[in-house]
Amino acid sequence: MTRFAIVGAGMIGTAVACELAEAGADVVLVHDGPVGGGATAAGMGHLVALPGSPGQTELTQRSLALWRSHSLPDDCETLCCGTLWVARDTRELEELVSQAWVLRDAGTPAELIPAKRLRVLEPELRPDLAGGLRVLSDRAIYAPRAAAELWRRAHSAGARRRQARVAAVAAGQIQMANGTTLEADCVVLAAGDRSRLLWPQLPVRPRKGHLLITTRRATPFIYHQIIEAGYTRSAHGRADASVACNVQPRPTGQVLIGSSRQEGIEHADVEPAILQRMLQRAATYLPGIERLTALRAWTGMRAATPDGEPLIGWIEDGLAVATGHEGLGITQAPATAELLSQLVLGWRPTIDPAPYCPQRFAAKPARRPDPERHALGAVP
Amino acid sequence: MAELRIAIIGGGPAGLAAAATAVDQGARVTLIDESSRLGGQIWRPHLEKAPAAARPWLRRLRRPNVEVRSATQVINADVEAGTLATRGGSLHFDRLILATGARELLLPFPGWTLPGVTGAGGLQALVHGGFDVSGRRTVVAGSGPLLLQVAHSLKRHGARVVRVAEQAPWPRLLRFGRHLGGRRLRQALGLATRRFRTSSWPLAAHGRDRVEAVTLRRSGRSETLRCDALAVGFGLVPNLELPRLLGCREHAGGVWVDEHQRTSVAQVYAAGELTGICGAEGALVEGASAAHHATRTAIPPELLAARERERRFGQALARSFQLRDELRQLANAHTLVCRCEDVPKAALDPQPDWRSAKLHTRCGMGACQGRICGAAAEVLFGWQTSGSRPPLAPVPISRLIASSQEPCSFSTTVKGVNP
Amino acid sequence: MSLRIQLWIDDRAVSVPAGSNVAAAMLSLGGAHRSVHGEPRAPVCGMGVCWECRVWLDGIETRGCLLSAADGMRVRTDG
Repeated sequence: MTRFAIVGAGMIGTAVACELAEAGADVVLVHDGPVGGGATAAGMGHLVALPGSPGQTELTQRSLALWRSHSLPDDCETLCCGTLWVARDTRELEELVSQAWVLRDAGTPAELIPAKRLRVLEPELRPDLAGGLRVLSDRAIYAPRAAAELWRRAHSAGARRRQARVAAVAAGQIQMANGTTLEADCVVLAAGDRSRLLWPQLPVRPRKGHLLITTRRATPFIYHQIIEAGYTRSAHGRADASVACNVQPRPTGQVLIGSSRQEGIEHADVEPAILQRMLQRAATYLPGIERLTALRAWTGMRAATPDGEPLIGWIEDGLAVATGHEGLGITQAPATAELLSQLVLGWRPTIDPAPYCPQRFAAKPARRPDPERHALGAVP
Repeated sequence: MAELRIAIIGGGPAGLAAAATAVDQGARVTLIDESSRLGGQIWRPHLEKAPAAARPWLRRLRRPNVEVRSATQVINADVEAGTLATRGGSLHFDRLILATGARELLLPFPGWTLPGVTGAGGLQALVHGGFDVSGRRTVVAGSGPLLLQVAHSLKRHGARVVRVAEQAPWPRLLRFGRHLGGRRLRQALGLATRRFRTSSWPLAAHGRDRVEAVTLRRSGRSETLRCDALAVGFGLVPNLELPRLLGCREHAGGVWVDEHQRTSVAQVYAAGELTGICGAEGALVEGASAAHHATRTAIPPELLAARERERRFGQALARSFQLRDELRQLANAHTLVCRCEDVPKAALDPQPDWRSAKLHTRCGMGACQGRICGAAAEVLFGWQTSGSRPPLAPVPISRLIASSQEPCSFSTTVKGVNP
Repeated sequence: MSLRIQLWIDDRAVSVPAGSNVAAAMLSLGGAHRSVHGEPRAPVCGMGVCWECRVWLDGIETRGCLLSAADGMRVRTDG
């Protein structure tokens, strides 16, 4: 039986562990710190049909379908809030119209909302918006618990774990900071932005984000996750520091407020100036947010790639990777795990793996792993 | 050099002594406190009247170079920039003296979340805040010299204190008594009551919508007493949120300081209970020492000697009132540990550490930000809590939006006070 | 006999001595608010730590123990 060692117990690592273990493979999950304690805990847990490149759209759509087939326990705090994209002007509204068609073509119902109806749906929105787009199938989950649930499933399928800090990875081997090593037929690097510390050639860099959550309220402040139409530009943009209104209701009556993106920042400190810009932006769309009480602010590092597509597949023989999802790691985790498992087990992939090939940035095409050799992973 | 600006956080004995000393040495002082009146927990005013011990210190602050910002919550600090952000505005400083004091250690036991169950110092504070305790059957329990003080104060306000239960055994208290020396021992004896029991601690509070009775352990047996108020505190724990935000090194449960009260962070001092629990007299000494060093004046030798004496007293305090192991077993599976998020002990048992507990059970994620359950979890599970981030306390979002990069300048804020 | 003032906590009137804080008034009502699972709760620490005295005054959330009570003041415990 092929032995897989997965580095990282975030949403991606636990999803990969679950997928491989349930396929009957021998799985060891290697991590330090809590399950789902990195970017998984830092993000919003929004399962969102975010339109992007055809590749992104395919991975996202496949993933959302897989998420729907998972039944998550109550403590994952699933909230079927949908997403309400809001446009400030006619130009943004046109963007939402084309976004609606992209989503509909991909099989996701998306409903254009006239300006007048926006405030019926969300009374806290400012009155002079141009209109919106509602995607009712989007949901929010509490991702650290979802990661814990996937680890629980992996564990009941026989996966084991090793809690240790990883110092280095190589094909077929992991070196721990405490000096011990772990041998495996295949090492899967799924440590988010920290993956580049273990494999420096990996084209992944951190994109820092801030989030803030309010105290609980007895009455809901908003009913949908509300995102400004310009968010997609901010998310895919290249500015040094950008903010966009992205606000989520929580089942606890709390409100989760985002978002920010910063390039080239390595420290995780909460930066008051960024927090201020982010909150100002949210208050532009939801003026009543100023009355709410800020409970806690934190930061996280998204794993970003040069072209905005994740890295899923072989780096070299005995070493595979699943990271680089930027802000979509939670949304895309199930399809990423499915695809990566199919690739490392030598099975036929459900979706085309080419857009996510980790070798795509290399100057010359990298050597393709021998399919025969990797078919070893096939479960009898 | 221009006038030195010293910001002092906390208006208890340490902060008051620091402020009075610093202004004597010609510094400009801003004294910040959460409460609407100075004095801290130990010198908390009753309604609006400050206790006698606090008054001389308060008088020394009526000077043009002192600005008092009461009812002010610090939400962020940046030592490199020399700025403090508060719920009401920002300010600049050259030196920062932390005197944030301590809070009570509250340990979960069945029924501890019932209305009418409070901290021991907590009930005293609430009485000083106007709660009428007269005629109420009151049980005071937990550990530490505070219990007798609280019981005494509650009686003066008309409470019927039916029991004072100290978890520490009698021989330890006797040894502590010998350490107290003449004046303090006389003070302690003045507080003595025939309701006092040693080796006794609460097992459970009973009641439907509020506390009606308490069961106490006492020499291998248990006694159940009817009561309207149950005031329980298991000693004090330093308020470490601000020093942790600044990255101050810790030692033995408090902030590490050298003999000049300097922390491991340049220009930042710490004084009082924050550096280790040793009471109001030690706090006064440390506050004054910190201010001396911060104003670059030599610390008088008698202060250095007193500091040593009070530190030894603090060590005796810690030894004598060490918590017994049984207290770690008071909570059962259903007992809530985190009262903000209603997280029972059973949910925490499988968790390996504090961070996992927070992430996976919501423990410590509520409004108090783990200030109560974090300290309890350290005792119950041996976990280490750590780190803090801005905002240090819940704050209206409007305040974070308004927090411009331009703190209001010092001269503007004291203009009205200057003669 | 000191001067007394009256305030309203979730529409329940309560009378306290002038100079009191809101947490003291909440404790005299017994269980002044409900926990997230609906249990009755009252102020505990009296010193700004536990947030069991959180109230909203004019829509702004704050701690009752750090809020001076005023005659005619209206606070809510439910936001």
